[in-house]
Amino acid sequence: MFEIVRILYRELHYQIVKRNPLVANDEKRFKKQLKNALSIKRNLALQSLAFIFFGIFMASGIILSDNKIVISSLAVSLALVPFIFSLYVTAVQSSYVVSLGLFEPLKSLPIRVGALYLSELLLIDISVSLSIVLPSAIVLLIKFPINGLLFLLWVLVGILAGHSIGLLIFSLFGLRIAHRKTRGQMLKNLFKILGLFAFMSMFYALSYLQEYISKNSEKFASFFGKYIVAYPFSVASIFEPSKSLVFLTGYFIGISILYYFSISKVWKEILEPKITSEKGKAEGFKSSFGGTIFALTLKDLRVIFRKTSMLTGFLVPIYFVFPQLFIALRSGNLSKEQVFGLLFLIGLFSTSGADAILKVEGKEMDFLRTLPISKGQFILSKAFSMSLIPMILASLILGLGTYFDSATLYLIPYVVLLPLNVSLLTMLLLFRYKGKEIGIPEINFGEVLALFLVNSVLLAFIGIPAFIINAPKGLAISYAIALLSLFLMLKKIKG
Amino acid sequence: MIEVHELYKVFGNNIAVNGISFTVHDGEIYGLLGPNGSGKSTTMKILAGILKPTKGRALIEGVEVVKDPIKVKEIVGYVPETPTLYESLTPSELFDLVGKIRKLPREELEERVNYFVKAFGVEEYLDQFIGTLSFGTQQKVSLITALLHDPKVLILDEAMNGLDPKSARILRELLLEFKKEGKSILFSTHVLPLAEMICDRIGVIYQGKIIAEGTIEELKEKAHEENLEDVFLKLTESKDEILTVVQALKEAL
Repeated sequence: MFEIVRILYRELHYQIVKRNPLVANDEKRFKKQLKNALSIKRNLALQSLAFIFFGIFMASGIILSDNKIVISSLAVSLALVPFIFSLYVTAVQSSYVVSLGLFEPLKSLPIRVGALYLSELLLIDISVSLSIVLPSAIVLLIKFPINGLLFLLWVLVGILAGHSIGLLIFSLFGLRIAHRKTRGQMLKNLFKILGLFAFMSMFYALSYLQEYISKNSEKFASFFGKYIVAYPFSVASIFEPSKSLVFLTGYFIGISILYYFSISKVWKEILEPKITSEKGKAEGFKSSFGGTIFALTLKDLRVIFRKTSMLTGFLVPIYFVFPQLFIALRSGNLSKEQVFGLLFLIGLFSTSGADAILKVEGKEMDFLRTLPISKGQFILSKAFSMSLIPMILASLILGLGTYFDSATLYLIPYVVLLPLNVSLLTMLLLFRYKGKEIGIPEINFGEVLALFLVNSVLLAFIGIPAFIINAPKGLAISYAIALLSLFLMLKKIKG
Repeated sequence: MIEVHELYKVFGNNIAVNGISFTVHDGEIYGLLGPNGSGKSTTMKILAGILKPTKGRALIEGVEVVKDPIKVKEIVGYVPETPTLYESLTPSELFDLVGKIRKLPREELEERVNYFVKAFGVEEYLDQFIGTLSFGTQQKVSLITALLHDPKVLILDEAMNGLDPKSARILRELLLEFKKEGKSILFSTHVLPLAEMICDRIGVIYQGKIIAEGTIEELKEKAHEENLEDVFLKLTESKDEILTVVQALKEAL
């Protein structure tokens, strides 16, 4: 079985390297890259290396502290990373893998659940995220062996949970094909997004359920009162091994059932995607307004909204913004300062959309290459596509903030400037190759981390004046810096 | 006009194109014939500005393919052997995308799309997602996208693949019409009678080299054969091989 996974892995990475203009036109580099990319061990080692430094940095908190409350809260934050990573990689990568046609040759073979290969293929990439938690887990295992082991088990369950939910999202939203474009499509897409968001927020829903049970049942209050059942908060229970084991077993059973269900559903849908056919008569061709960049951006958005599982990449900021928004709203207020922080957080997490936006084109890149598209036009269209969803999120937060405090409206330029700055810088860095041809640069997780760092620096430059100088002067300087950096980046793209 | 001078393309240790030269004049249909893996598609991709040659020169209407591939793509209409279109877009949306990229005025785009979708019988599929269309219909959509900007040069890599007889006939007539308009057409096919029917000149490519070139009559004369199929098999050293294989199969069965 692993032989098939190995072949699929090689094929996937060959396709990625082949379409990467950073290396495709440089034969020496191409061969070297191919050597690394086609070997599972080598590829995993290289990617884990990027993560392990981050992991060691995160482990320092556990090394320096013996306070169990501090350690358990650190464990909670750590456990979130592989879960989100797993969910994201599964939902986005599956769509890409299937669109590359990797499973076409397997369809005609007598295979019962071929999606197991897809699952293993994705788990190889997901396993890289373990190196973020591994240093902390090792420290914990040395300091508190049983609790350390429990932590490691929670992380593994978290990975499986993210993977299973990702598969379910993919089977429900990623594979269904509508036969015909209809007028109700927009509304349907909106419902699909809401459904997707509901899946991603299911653990938050669990915490509500828990709160409800604690309030309404004295019998369960003592059990549920101390720990939050929802993952990753449940990881905090590692210092009470028996309770933690109960939670863990419950999670494991539930998630295993979900995994089995999702994997079968995915294969069924890969073999025969459900085609929902709507009655309708084709209308004649009508051309729309707009230029090349607008048309390319519109194409990206159409593809993303129709392959809804790819949207997961753009909804990642919500996962990080939601808890803070939730805490703020619980206090019955959303201050201008809190909105300021949330807008910068959305701006920074726009970075996570880069991977998804570069996965819009699989084989289709060969088609785009036949058209007269300049590198600058392509970069701009990708940056616009990448920043649009964060802009919508930011405007919703701003709207909510303005409801509580009308002075928040002064932050309106940030809604556009922050995601756009981050997206443009991200794309400029990713498309840094020489030459004018268009292509899809390979983006690995180490690179995403580096992009997060670079974008944090950019946002710090933009944000600090507003932070240290009183409004309106501070804000005006901040906006001027943001506009200047946009101008410089646009000049660089055009040049 | 297409001009190719000593063109090479090397992939690792494999020489896909080995120093070929040929010219396709205005108002000419040039057939590039060759067995699988002979370098036809690689040559066509280089001429369409998609691949960079390892060595040599290629000019499309006087524009160097290596120096200005974007300009080349503006001039050329290219149809690949397998369509790789966006499956989650509809043909309408794809035509609109291509029209915008090619900067076609709205009215002209609408007029040309409506003309070609009618000609190839794609009207009823305009609002269906491309992923749900048959291979043949996808090929027609791919063809239309290549013809939208009224290209001066056409590069068609087995463009008749998957087309029903009616559409194949329409394309054939269109190509002859384009030829009259003075367009240069580079055409590859495995259907030799078709090549015999529409090509003014033929280049036989084998192992990355042009091994014979001329009008069909010239090639027949050179190879001392009656029809293009025999000429082709003789030139690519396949005729004796075929007889041996058929004989072996007969004996085995």
